[in-house]
Amino acid sequence: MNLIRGIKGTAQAYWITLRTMFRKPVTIQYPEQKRQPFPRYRARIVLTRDPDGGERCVACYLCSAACPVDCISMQAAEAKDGRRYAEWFRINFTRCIFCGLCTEACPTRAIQMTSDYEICNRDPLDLVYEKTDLLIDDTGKDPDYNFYRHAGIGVVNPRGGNEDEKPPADVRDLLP
Amino acid sequence: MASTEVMTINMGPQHPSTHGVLQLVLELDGETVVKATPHIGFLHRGIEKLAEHRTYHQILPLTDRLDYLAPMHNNLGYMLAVEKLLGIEDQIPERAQVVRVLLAELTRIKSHLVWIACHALDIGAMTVFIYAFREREHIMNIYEKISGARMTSNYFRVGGLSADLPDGLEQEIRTFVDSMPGHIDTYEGLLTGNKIWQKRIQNVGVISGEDAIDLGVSGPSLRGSGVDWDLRRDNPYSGYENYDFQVCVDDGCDTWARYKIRLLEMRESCKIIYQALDKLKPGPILADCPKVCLPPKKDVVDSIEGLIHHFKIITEGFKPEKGEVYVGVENPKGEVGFYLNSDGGPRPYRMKIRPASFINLQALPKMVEGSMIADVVAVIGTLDIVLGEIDR
Ligand code: SF4
Ligand code: SF4
Repeated sequence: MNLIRGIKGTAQAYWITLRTMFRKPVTIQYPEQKRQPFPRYRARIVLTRDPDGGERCVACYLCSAACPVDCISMQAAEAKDGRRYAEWFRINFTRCIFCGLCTEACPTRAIQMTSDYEICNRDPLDLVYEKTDLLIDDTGKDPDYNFYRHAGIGVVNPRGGNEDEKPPADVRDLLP
Repeated sequence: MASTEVMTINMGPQHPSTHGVLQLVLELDGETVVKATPHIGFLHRGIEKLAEHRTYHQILPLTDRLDYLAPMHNNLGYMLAVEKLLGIEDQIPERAQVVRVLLAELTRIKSHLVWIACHALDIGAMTVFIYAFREREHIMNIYEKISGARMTSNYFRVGGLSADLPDGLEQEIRTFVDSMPGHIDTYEGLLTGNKIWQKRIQNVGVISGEDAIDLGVSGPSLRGSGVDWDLRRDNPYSGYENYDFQVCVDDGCDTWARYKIRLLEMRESCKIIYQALDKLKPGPILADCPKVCLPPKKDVVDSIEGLIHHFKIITEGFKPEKGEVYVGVENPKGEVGFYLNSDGGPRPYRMKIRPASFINLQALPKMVEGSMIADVVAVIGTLDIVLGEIDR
């Protein structure tokens, strides 16, 4: 009895393996075949532009405040028209843990995560990305959004001239 | 006349079946283990200390890296602790609760799949390893669609979830869960009836219920010693009291009993997932606590009030009142607990983690001493340890 059970247990396992041999393989041959990650995938970070081609980032430092490993650093500057931008912007990808908190924190949708997961490198210093490496000519995941069309000083439209804005208050009017 | 003396050998830290960087110093008398001493700490990252310098939101991605085979469970335990500290645990919306349970159970299956894969591989049954990883890949894809990462999910948020489930995912989860019992049958077909497998794990790594309790063992390793204890039922969280499921107990006390329990638990998890999918109704996913939860992104980019809240929460965090809490959840490996002590500031004064694997590992010397050296591998596999959690 014991012997029969033993033979059955082994034969059954062979049968399962044999059956599986005729199934389609589920593996893919990386790197010849590449897998396209799903839209929410969190990998290499980029800085996007608004639909008018301007830099979205206003150097508010929120992403660097939100980052749990402190890998974002920047220096804010102001253009002649009053538009703020980052003079330099640096992400140290050797420290980044791809948590996505910076993307969640960004109020202008400037910093976004892409699905490019192939950023390994032989020299760690090459993984310190500067603004030129990060800034792309694209609007990313929210193509129509332009921060200056909703808020901020009059860069795109005169002050208070945006659709969802009220005209600026005349402070003298408010006097009793 | 041959003299006998005890020989000391190192198993690990570079050893394929220690599941990471665990070093076991074994004292052997012939092939019998006289004494086993685990040496740990090779993967120590100081997560508890790091947490003292981060806001409550920023600690969340660190908890992914504890038990990296079940990240959603660590997230859940930590979130529940923070929510309890803030006193908002009753305000979590229904949908968020259900999604949490759904993902927690999916994670349990995912973790148990790695367990069966590695356990079988260690003992020499390589086929199971490949099949189990094939199924795990499905769960990883679901993870990736939901949270954007395959392992380090970072998906739950204080008060709810970071984003809603993507469209069509419920159907995909259902399809996967439909196929799961068949896959479990496959693993059982490969292993259960196999004489070698039986011989290798029956009456190996025996630990009695009392000893297991004394050593603080929890999870399937405890239930395999006949102790009927499951936090999901005995101290429910996230609405587990509304689900109908069986707590699997077996009083075999050996590796065979724990093997059967984990397989049954996967089947039970499938049942819970079906119930959760049925309960899933559209609704809010974040509690209405504007001082704690980040406002929806739409408010941030379109309205100044939302933007101000957003700035305040990200730069300052939130400040729970002075006090301390402990919350334990039933991780696939056992009880994972988070103790948080707040001094009224935006960062915890102290965070202590009760890792399941760390405490389960304490039982290892008891389970292997007096047995053969080949059984050590089986016992490490059956304890289902994860070094990320042991060393923190
Ligand atoms: S993904 Fe996380 S770790 Fe990386 S830069 Fe953003 S916040 Fe920092
Ligand atoms: S990327 Fe976004 S969050 Fe970071 S500084 Fe620029 S605007 Fe602020």
